[in-house]
Amino acid sequence: MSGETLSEADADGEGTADGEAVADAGLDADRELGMEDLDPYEVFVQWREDRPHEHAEVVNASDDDLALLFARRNVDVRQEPKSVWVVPRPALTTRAAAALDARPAEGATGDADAAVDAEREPFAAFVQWERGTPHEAVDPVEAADPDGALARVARRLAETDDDALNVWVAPEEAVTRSREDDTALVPSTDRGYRSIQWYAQHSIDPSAVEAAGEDQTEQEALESAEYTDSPIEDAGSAADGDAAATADSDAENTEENP
Amino acid sequence: MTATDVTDDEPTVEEAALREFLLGLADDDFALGHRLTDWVGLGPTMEEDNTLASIAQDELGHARLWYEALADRGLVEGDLDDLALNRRPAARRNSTLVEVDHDDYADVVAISLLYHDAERRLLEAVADGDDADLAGRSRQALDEEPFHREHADLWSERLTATDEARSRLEAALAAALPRTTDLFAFPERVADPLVEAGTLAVDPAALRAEWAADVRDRLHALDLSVGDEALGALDAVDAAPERNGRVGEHTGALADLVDQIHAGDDVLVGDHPVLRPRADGGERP
Repeated sequence: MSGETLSEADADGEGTADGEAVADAGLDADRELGMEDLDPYEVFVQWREDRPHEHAEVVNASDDDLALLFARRNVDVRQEPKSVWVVPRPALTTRAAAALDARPAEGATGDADAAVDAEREPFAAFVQWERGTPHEAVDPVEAADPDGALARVARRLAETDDDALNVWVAPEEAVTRSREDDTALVPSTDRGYRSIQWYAQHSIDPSAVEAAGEDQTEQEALESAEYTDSPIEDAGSAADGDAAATADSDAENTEENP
Repeated sequence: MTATDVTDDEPTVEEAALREFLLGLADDDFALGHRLTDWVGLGPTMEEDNTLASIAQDELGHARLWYEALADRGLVEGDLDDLALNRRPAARRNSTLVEVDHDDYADVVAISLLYHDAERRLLEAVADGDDADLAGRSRQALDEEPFHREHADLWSERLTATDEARSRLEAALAAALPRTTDLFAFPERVADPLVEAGTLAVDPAALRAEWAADVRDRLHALDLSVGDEALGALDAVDAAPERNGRVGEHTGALADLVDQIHAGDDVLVGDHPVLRPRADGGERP
């Protein structure tokens, strides 16, 4: 059996060997929304320089460029990702590690050793090591087709005696990568105000600031002011113009100040 | 944010100019950010919805950068809430381009396409200027702007893919172009002292021709026809705008925007329903 592409793993389980979509209620709904023109893209994110790209989420887009644009802002930018890749789901071939064969599948053209160099192309490979963890990028392999790529990955896993659960491969040319100088991934302005904590912190008891003394800068006053336990309730009370009644002063915090 | 630093002294010519110019930058970002947040939950797809909301947050963040600079220098009264939320339309200095309500997603794309290029040029004039603090703030904002331009570029290309999309984008551009005439129209009393002081590396008025040529190139590259009247707005490089947001001349759309923030006509500016207490315990103006 050849590798099953994720796109064929339709919820209704109907075979789509001939590549034609099976009409059902879900697809009709998609059509109504114009969603049938969109492809799902798997998003891989590198969170730290010393970590591989790992599968993070899925975005739907009409094309590679828009998918990458969406992915760059649909991942959590507050965690400052280093790099983002998108791969259209139909380009991915997936196989359970247990079904991996280090030898090329029977009849497959993907015998990487037999294929002449010109016929080989680089494949990105992603391995899921444990249940419940995301697929992680591993070194790319060269092969003539997805089966060959899977065989290459299987061989490498066997050589290093690594246990894996599941492997995905995709032609490198199907992978769209964020640029190294992408400033969109690195917040350049203070985004603290976007969090509910910021509002909680800034809904402070004016008397606490007063008590902190005149020498203290406003920023210090804000930092030393207590977070309220219930930001939402606090915001609601502030709307009534009665925040002083809800924001507790924090004697301990003000002690830091002479 | 220290409103208490405001002195009663008359501001110098340069201070007055800086105040007007920075309000222009800040109010642009605030008005556009606010209009983009109107789309939250209504974007064409969930992913685009998130992306646009994120861009709106960037713009509101940039507004903060400039409001903060204004407050830090004692050029204005009030804190960030007051500056962003509690000012009457006539006190605002944003371009009329960014204040209008959006009827169609093509409006988002058209306005973004026209605005972000102009914003970049204004920010670069500050980044290349002699005021280190303002130049630093400009560079911070400029770092986030390439994504906004990329977003506008990708979407404008895609809105030329079908006849319907194309006609809607063309209509949106035709409506938006006449409102671009005030983007660089800071009056001489604002531009001249800042150029003289070196705060601006270049007179904003001098940026307009270059910007207009770029816009023209883009329209041409996408084969978009917006009509002679709208194109005229690009030619009128030296003409005074009919309505200049940079001197507080706004459309009713900005009054609507401010009313929206204040939840009704009967609520006076300053009685914002989600007003937080001022950190210094002071009264709001």
